[in-house]
Amino acid sequence: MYQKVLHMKRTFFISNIASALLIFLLLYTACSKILDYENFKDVLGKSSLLKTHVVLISVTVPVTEITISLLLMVPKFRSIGFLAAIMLLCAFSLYILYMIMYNPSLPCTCGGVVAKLSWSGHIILNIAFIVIAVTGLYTNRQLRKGHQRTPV
Amino acid sequence: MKKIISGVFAAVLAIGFSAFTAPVKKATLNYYFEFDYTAYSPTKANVEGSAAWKISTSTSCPNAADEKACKIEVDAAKTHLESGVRKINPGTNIVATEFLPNN
Repeated sequence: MYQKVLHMKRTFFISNIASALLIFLLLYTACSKILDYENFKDVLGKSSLLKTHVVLISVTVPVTEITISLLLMVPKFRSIGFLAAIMLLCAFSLYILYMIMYNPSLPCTCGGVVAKLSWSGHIILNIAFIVIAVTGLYTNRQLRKGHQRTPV
Repeated sequence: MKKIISGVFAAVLAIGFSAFTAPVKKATLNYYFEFDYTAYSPTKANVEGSAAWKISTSTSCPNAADEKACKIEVDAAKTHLESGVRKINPGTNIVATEFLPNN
């Protein structure tokens, strides 16, 4: 029984840390994009892949990041938040791979200090956060199963 | 409450950090240059050459049908004064698209 309580506490801690890290990353990059919106749009316009939908992407990406952060903040929707974060980070990683192959000289459209990383640095950062999101999703599901099994 | 406190703390940190690292907008000084039709014909090569552009004195572009290359805005850092006349720095990259009407 004691071990089960310890396991639940550890799971709770990991789930919270994972969601906090993702909230920090997503909100930071969303706010940075909004604060430097004109530059963000300019860089998007230079990408051959995205230039036809600059306005749509420049609005959708920060809004999506903020929405996922809010989902991660609310325990009831945290699993959905983790899933959405994984999908978003995978989409970003595919975009980074495309840029590495076809436009390595263009700057990243990421916000803030993340934009100062090299393309390979970006990939590593994305993979790290995908791992964090997957870990968070797994621990969150463990937590929910644990709550459901708690005897009345 | 315990379940959301870490998320709220992360959000506050993220917003604060992004405000702290936001780039400072510098006021840029730009100059307008117009294409010198009297000295150069408006071919793609001439339009992309910095010598064909002179500091603009007019507020609007000429109305002639073939005179598509009209006016460009140039960052002050890419210009210099030559005998009191502002000119575009040689070697400045000017990219033009040639309009080819359908026959």
